[in-house]
Amino acid sequence: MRYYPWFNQTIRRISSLVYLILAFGFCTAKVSLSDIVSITKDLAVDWSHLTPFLACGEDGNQIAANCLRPPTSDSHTQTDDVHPDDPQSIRPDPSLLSRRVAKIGACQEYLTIYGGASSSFLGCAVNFSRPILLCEKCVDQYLHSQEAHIDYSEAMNEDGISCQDVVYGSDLIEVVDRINTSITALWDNANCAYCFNSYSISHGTVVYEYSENLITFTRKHQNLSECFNHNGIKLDRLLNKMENLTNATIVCEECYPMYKDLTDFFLKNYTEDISRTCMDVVDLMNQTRRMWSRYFRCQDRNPDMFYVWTVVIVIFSSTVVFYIAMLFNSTFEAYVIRGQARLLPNPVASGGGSYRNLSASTADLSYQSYAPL
Amino acid sequence: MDESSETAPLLIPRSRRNSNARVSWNQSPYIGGQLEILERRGSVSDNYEVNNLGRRDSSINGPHFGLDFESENIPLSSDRRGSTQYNAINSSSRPRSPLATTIINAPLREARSTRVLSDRFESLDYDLVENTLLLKEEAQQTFVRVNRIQTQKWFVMFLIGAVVALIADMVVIVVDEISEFKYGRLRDLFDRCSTTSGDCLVQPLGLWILMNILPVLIGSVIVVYMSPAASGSGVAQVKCFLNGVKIPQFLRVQTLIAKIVGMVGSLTGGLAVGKEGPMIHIGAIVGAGISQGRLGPFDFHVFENFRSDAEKRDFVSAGVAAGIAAAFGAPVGGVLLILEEGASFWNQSLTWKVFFCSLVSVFTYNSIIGVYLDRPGDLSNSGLVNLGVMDNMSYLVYEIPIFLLMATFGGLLGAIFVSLNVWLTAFRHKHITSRVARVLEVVLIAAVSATVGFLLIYFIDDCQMMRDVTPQRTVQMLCSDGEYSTMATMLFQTSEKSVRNLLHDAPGTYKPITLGAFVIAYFFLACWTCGSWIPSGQFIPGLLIGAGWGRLVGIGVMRLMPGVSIDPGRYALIGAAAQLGGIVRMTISLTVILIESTGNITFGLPIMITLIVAQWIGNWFNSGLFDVHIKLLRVPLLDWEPPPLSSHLTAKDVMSYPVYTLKTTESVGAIVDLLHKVTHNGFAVVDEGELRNPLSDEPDTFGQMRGLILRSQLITLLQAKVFDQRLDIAAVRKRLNIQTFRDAYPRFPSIKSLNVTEEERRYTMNLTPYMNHSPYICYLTTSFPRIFKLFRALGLRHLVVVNNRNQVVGMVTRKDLAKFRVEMHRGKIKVEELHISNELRATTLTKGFP
Repeated sequence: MRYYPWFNQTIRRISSLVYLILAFGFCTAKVSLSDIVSITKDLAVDWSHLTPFLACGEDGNQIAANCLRPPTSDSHTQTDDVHPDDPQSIRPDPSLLSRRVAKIGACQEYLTIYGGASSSFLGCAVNFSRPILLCEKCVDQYLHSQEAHIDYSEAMNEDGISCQDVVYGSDLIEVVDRINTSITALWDNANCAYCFNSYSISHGTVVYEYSENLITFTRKHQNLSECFNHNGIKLDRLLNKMENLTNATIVCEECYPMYKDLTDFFLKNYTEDISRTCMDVVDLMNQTRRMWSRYFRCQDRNPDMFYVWTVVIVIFSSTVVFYIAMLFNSTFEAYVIRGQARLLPNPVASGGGSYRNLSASTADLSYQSYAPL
Repeated sequence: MDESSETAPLLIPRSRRNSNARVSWNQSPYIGGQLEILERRGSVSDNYEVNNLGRRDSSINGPHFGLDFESENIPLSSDRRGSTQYNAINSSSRPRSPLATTIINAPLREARSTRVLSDRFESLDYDLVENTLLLKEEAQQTFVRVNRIQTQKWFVMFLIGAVVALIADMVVIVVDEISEFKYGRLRDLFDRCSTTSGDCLVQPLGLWILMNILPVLIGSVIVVYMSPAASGSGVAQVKCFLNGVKIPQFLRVQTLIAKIVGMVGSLTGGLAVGKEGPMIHIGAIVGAGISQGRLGPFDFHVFENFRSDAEKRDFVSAGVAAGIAAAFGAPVGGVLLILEEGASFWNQSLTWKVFFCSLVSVFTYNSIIGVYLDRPGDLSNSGLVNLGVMDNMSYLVYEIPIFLLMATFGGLLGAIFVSLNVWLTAFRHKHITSRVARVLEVVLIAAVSATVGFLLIYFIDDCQMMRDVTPQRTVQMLCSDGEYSTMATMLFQTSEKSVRNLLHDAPGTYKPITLGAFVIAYFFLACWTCGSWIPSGQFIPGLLIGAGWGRLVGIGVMRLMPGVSIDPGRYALIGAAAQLGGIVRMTISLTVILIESTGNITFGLPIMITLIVAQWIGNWFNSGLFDVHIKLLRVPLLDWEPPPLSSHLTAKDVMSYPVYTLKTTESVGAIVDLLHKVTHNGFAVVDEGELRNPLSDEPDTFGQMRGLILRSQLITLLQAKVFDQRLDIAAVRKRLNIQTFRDAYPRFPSIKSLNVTEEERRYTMNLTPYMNHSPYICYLTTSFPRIFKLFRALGLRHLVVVNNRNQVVGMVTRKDLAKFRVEMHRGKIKVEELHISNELRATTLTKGFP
């Protein structure tokens, strides 16, 4: 009986807190009363059906058939023997769940199609990753995967819920989203959109058109490769093994016009804004340059330095001459020290008892005050 | 030798040396008097032990006037009673006593000799003259007016911060634009001309030299011809000003214009300089200018209450803090710098106001820069953090010893920098004196900077693949296609961007050879440029040199520990701190400035440790850069504390004696003659009475002390003709209020511009209402440390020495105290007594002595 007032007080406090929270929610979230009722109903239903799952976490050793355990291989689990869960067997009866946990149903089809399209794009991209040709060669697969994704996100399952909601609502790692994001990121980072004049897909047919710059660039690069081949250099795509460097100088001379043509074209058209340049072109250009400079060592930069050295020597020597001339221009010999008026002790007395003015003769003392008129 | 010429010789002529009493002194060269060396020297011995601070030995006999010298090669005369014998000091027959031997002539030939203080520096007047006029003004004031004055102070602080930030913005924007243009053209030309077919490599070199020379020429001409006080960094002069020394031409409007134009010139001219030091000077000028409410000849008649040295000092310190805040983006650092320099007059309310001023400065600066960077209104833009926000600033405990080693190295390099610069500055003072030569020197420095840059780019073969940098911002130079030269990228940008890149670039951007060559070249260029006749800051060069070798250390650590991922940018920051601390030897303010500039406080502890160690190591060898420049300027600076073990010295030993006094009612003629004769600024006002007491053993006195009057007051009174014999004297007196004195501040007319008729010379002036009734005094027996502390803490200009009967006996001024200078050299304390000189004079001394 002694605790009764304390208990009462606590109950009062908790209930006032709850009222406060509800009032806050009411005011800020503009939650209407019907929403509150439905939410509480949903919560109650979920609670009754989710408690069996929640009970699993409380007692680590309890192994129940209706306990969901994540099928992970690392040792986060408390028990030694983990029952691999079988989602089908333990999925609760869908009709008893609230509408927030819907079923996959017909969306599975769209997911399969999307999986296939995205994996073909990724496979193509990896295949053409060195040198980067994914813009040119994988546009087909990219557009297919995009179409599949759009189909999937617009479709509805038999309950009238869009597939995206279905998958999204019950998926903590958002697999589909992540994959889609990486595909679009890959495409965007390679600036593939700028390789084309246009591309589109409709009902499975892909239509695209390369930009003129790309076509011209490819042609010029083709010329250069032909020149290399003509001189016995075989271009390995991966540039792993290159043979036959003996006619490097000949290559430098003969293929120089084509190389210059290519470089000039690249510098003119492709270097304004690096964020709008088709990466295919850039990568190919880098590779060509590397080959040209590092592998063939075609030196293009050997300007004549005669005038440069002249100017350098003139400047340095004029500095030295200046300072030596200044050395002879000395402007002072000594400091002019100003005397300071001081009081000195009388040297005769020891210990400095009496003092003597510096100017004992007062005749021409100049510090005297003037007598007034 | 002609004794009455301005360039009078140092020797006491024979004719006057015979009598030991006929010495005339206190005649300053300004009025064509003769100069003599009457300095009593404290110590002769080689070991400058502290106990030789002028302790008098009673064995001295006769008037001994002399100087002592460091070098023993100079032929000297050692003579006691004025005989004409000249012996070398070593061959003196007299045993060496610890006191002055009589050596007459001491041409201190070394320009580097800092054992002389210059006479042309005067103290500021911080002491308030409490006379009847002040009381009259105060009687008319109300608390409302007091409140208004306080509000005015806040408003002026706001204005100072805003104007300083505006100037900083303008300079930064102009320099940025011009640099972009300049380096853009150079990049194009370099790329075009470095191909074999282009073959015009002399063109970019020539253009670079030309584009360096042109702005530098303009800036230097303006500085040298308009206002030479605007050259250099300005921090040394600010330190002197806050110590209480009036530096001529330091706070003028033409100095401001010259400084701004010169700063823009030196920054766009690619010199190895920064903008922080000049910003400090500009802040000081703005602070002084705005608070006085007048601009050159235009008097706006606002803020008239602030027209005194004490108020100006407060606003100058606020301006300095605002300058640092605008330059570094570090408001707290600015306040701390002022605290470090001007702590003697510090008080809490001033802290608050100065902080407000620097905050306003940072705020204004950031707003305008935000607009310039196309992000208006975004004041939290990290691009505004001056040196860039550094993430990943973790460090482990085993890195602390590395930091300490870097700090030691920074201190050593800083000491080397300072000593090289001292030597060079002394050379400049002595040899490079004509204006044309000064401008020519700066132009040559600019040309050599361009040439050295070109040579660095040509010889250092550091080519990096182009990543996400567009070709417009890189130079290919002699690299292969698709690569760019890192050295060129580092040189073709302003120094601040270089520091930023060194702190933030990814590991592997620079090869060690690039950094090494750059550091060495830049070190010598910075050392050479410092002190030349163009506004030049030393903060950014110090940071850049340190960031360079710091990053080298980082690369070395990376190679030593291959597994650990190390960011060399952190080592660059520590190196920058170490180098700058080694050069300027500022600790607390620099720590806070660096913390605020990098936006990261995690690294505060290593930076602090680095700065302290660098300062200690550097101080072992010599003083900081600004202190050394102050010494070379021969400014009579007062230390924080009196020299140690100097309590045996009393006022008797250091005061000026005799004193120039005026009676309470003095004739105008006497006053005018006195003002013409001496250059003193303060005169004791005494009662009429006996001037000397022939029967007593005490030193002769000059009368009963009544007060102290300043030269400026006397001149104002003479101008207003406040003569007793005038018929309308009552009306004149009534009209005279303290505003008349304030209006003439700060440039009081000289006595030469006054005209006094013969009749007026016979009139008298009553000085009692206008003098300071209660000047600070000390007694004959007051010890030297006590006088020093009083002087320093109150910022006095004159201290009257009285005996126990309140009779004026002497006067102590700043030079009397600043003559005893304490130095720490290699761990040993050295106290030396300095001499006072009025100028470095070109004399017609021949090699021999007469």
